[in-house]
Amino acid sequence: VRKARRRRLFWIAGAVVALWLLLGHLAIDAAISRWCAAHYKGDARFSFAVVWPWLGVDLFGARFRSRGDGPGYDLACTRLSVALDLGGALRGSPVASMTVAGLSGEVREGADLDLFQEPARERGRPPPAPAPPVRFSGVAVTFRDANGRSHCAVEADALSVEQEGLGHYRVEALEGRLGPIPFERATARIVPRGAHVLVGDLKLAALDGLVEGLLDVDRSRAGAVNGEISWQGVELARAAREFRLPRRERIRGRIDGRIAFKGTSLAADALEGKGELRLANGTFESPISLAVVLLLKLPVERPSMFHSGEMVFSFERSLLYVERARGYGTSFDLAAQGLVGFDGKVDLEVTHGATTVAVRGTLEAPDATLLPLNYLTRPFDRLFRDRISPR
Amino acid sequence: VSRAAPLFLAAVLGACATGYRSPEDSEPMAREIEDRNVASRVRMLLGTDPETAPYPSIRVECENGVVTLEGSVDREAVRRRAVELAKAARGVARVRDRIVIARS
Repeated sequence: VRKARRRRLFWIAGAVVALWLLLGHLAIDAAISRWCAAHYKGDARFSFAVVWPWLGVDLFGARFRSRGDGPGYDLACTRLSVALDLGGALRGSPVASMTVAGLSGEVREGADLDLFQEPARERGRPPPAPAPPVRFSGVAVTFRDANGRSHCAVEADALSVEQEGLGHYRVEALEGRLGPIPFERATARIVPRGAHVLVGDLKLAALDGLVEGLLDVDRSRAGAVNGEISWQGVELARAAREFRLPRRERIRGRIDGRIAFKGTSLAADALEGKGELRLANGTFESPISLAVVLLLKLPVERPSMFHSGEMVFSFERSLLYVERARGYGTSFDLAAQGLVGFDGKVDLEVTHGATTVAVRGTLEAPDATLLPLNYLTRPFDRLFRDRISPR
Repeated sequence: VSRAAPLFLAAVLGACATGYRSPEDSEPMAREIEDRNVASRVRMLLGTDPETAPYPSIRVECENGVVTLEGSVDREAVRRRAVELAKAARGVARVRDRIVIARS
C-alpha cells in the first residue's frame, strides 16, 4: 500500500512539475513575444526554459529578431534570469548581445530589466498603445564592430526607454559613464527614419557643463555615422582629471566648444571632423607651453600662464590637426599650429611674436627647439612634414 | 637636364608651399560633414513631427546647404509641412521640393 501511495505521489508530483514547466514556458513565451510585438514588431524564440519552484525563471538561448519599421536589431540572450512576482510583473537580469545598425552591444549581468509591468491576469490581451516604458536599473553596453573591436562603452543607471507613439523612443538615464566621462541626467530621442537611426535632442550634464548632440547612423551603409556634439561650461579641471592630462593641477576654467564628425564607425581612427574650443576666465598651462617659455625665457606670472585661449582643429586617422591655436596670458601670447596624435605624440610650431619654436616629442615630455632661420627652414620642414608626423 | 632643372625647382617650391595642412584643406571635409548633419537635423524634425513622422519614405539629402526632399506622400498638407520643417532646420540655405502626391 505504501509503495502504491509513493508511486501515486511521485506521478502526481511529476505531472505538477511538468505542467508547471509547460505553463511557465508558454506564459513567458507569449508574454515576451507580446512585449516584442508591442515594442518592435519582432518575434522571440527560446531553446528551453527552466522554471524554479520559488517563481524564479532562467531562460537559455533566447533569441529576439526585429522586423517591420523599427530599428533593425538582432538580440541573443545567452541567459535571461527572470523573477516572477505575485503581482504578475516579470523582472529580468539579462546577459545578452545585441546587433543594431552594424554595431553590436553587450548587456552585462547585473542589469535589472523590468520587462512586463502589466498584471499577469491581463496577459493574452492586446497590448496597450503606446507600449509601457522599459526600465533598467543598471546597464553596461559596449559597442563593438564586426571585428570585435570596442568602440564605445556606456554605463547607465535608472535607464528608461519609452515609446512616444510616433515610432520614436525617449531615453532617460539618471547617471552613467560614456567611455571615461561620467554624466548625469541624460535625455535623448531615438528616431528610426527609413534607413537611418537618429539619436537626437541629446542633452546631458557632464564635467559640470551641459553637453548636447545629434548622431545619425545610416543602416544602408553599414556603420556609417555622422553627428555633432557641443558643450558649454565644461570644467577644464574635471576634464583634465578624467582624461588624465599632464600638469592637471595647473588647469582650470570653463570651456565651450563643438565638434562635427563623420566616419565609417564610432572608432576613433574611423572618424574625421572639425571642431573648436574656447577657454575663458581660467588658468591653463601645459608641458608644451612651459617648454616654450623656458626656451624663450619669457616672464611668467604664476599661477596663470594663460587666462584664456581658443583653438580650431580638425581630425582624421587618429591625428588632430591644430589649424589655429592661441593662448592669451597676462604678459605674453602664444600661437600654435601643427599635429597632435591621439597617442600623445606632438609635432607643433609655436610662435611668439616673430620667433618660432618647433615642439616635438610627446604631450608629457615635449622637446622644444628654436627655429632661428624660421623663414628658410619652414619650407623644408613643410616638405618633410608628412614623414616626421606622428602616425 | 638644364631645361628640366627650373621645372624641378618650381615643383619643389610648390610642394614646400603646400606641404602644411592649412585651414582651407579641411574645408571640403567640413562642408561634407555640415551637409550630412543638416540632413540629419531635417530627418530628426520630420521623424518627430506628428504630421510627417508616419512618412519615413520622405528622403532627405543636402548639398552645399541645399536640402532636397524626395519621395511620395498621400496628402498635400504633409508635403507642405515637410518643406516647412526642412526650412526651419538650422543650416538650411534652400529647400528643393521633389515630393510627389500619390493618391491611392
